[in-house]
Amino acid sequence: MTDRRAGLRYFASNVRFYLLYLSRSRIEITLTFMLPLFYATVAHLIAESGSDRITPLEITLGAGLMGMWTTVMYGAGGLIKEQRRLGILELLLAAPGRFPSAIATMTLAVALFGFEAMLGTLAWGYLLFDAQIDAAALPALAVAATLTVLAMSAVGFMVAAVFVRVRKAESAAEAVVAPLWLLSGVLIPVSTLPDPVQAISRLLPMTFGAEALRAATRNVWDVRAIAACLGLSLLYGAIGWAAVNAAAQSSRSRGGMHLW
Amino acid sequence: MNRRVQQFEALRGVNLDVSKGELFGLLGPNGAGKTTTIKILTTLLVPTSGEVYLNGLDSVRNPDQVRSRIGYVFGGDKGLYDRLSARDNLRYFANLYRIAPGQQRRRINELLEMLSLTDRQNDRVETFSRGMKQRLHIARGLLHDPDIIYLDEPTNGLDPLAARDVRDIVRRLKHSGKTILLTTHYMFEAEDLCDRLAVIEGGRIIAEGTSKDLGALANAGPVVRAEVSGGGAQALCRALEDRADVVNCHLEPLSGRELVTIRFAAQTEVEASRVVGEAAAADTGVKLLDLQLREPTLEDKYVTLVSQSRDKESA
Ligand SMILES: Nc1ncnc2c1ncn2[C@@H]1O[C@H](COP(=O)(O)OP(=O)(O)O)[C@@H](O)[C@H]1O
Ligand SMILES: [Mg+2]
Repeated sequence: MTDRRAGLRYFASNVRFYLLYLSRSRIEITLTFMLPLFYATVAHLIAESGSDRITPLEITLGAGLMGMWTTVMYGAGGLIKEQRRLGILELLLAAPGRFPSAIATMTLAVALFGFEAMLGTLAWGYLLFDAQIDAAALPALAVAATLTVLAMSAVGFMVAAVFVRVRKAESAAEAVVAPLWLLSGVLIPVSTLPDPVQAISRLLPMTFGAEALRAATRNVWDVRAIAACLGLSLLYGAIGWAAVNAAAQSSRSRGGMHLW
Repeated sequence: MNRRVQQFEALRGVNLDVSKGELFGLLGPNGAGKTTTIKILTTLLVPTSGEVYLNGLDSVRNPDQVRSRIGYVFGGDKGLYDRLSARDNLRYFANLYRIAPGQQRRRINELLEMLSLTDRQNDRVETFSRGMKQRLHIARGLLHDPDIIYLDEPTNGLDPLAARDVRDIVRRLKHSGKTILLTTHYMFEAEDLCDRLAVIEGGRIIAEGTSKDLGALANAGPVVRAEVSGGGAQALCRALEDRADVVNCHLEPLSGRELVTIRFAAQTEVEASRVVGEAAAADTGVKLLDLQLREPTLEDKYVTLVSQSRDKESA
């Protein structure tokens, strides 16, 4: 029991470490905080000229989620790449703890970092576009937001696993960012996508995270979406864990290919 | 143990026995297999065949138990989060090695003090000199107070003063009872620090013992330093190297002339200088300006060992 408590404490402390590390990079800061503001502005301008079926808050949240996607897809892989360059990956592998758990601290930090950008976007939406948050919806929003962070870090974990395994994975990760915006329904509702595409959307935890978040803005608890998001996140996390483990094993037995 | 890297045989039969409290040196040129050996010992690589035991513990089968008992430090300015402070870096690895939160501060302070980094503990690592980074890297490897420490070329790329600091630290670690395996490609460093050494070349141990033993093992004779002018120094070197009693011949351009260093295998000084003198006289493209003789140093003996092993390999 106390062992688990201590373990959580180390974990939390190292998540904080990576948050601090991310916040020391100028590029990271720019990408994470400026882009969502830009997205939010564009989204509002487009929305103003079109229908008003969605509220300013939903538009702002959508922009924030786009920003989070970008941060996670670039950030999770970027952290792995950077630590490989710094020769740190092999030090993490040489430590007695579980290697996937060290990678998990990084992806959670990246998702939290993205969430900070989301908060920034909300403030921007409030100031410029009157995107108001109903105080009664706060509990539902808090739960949905936590789920969103979880979903993002689960996907980030899988991305990180690919980067541990493959040296030059960045172009692939960058190429899927825009399709992910569409697929996960952060830009436009998934229901407006063609049927076969919708089927793919249903495999992404973020699709349900975004649904739960949108419902929460109206103080609605979308239990189905919450459960689906949670379940898929755990599944992604488990796959990511296994993949990181496999990459570490293969590096130990095949030598010099992946970790240094 | 043996190790194949992508069908490349990086190690072919390395047998080492290091006792508790010993400072053992693994000496060899670049690409000899030192790092590969260390990576196997630190459980980062699994040998294709062979075994590694640490206090009776099979480290190929039980990597987790081994990892908490060993420290691993490599040379070069990598291995640190450069945008964060020295203290942040140490705190992170203290968590990774599960050092109890209550003990972390004391342990980190102790190491910062020992490695003379207390003043700069809150500065970003990217502002550190190479020597400071290397000391911080050593502190990182010592956080969990391991009994066994692997140091892979810890003075690589350091200026002479910083390298001396690192050697002082290694000496202090030995005095505190740590078992240390150090790799280096500097003979003088190995001689200065190590109780025993093994010379590794082409993935094989070619000699093992104290530095004295190695000197005796290497069949090293006198070293002739000849200053020559004219364009034929290279041809002269090739001709000399063809002789069975010449280990190797090294060229170094000086202003307007060249310095040729010829290492002989067991040979008398008189005979060695006669051989070089005659070879120079026979070559019309070379003018001999000066010729000096000296006893072989340990460095020469090391070069002799490695060269002879390479010759045997290619023969
Ligand atoms: N990842 C790798 N792929 C292929 N060959 C490698 C790899 N790593 C090391 N080698 C080869 O293995 C040999 C030993 O390398 P290494 O142990 O790094 O030598 P040292 O540390 O003594 O300089 C070298 O010839 C090197 O080229
Ligand atoms: Mg090396």
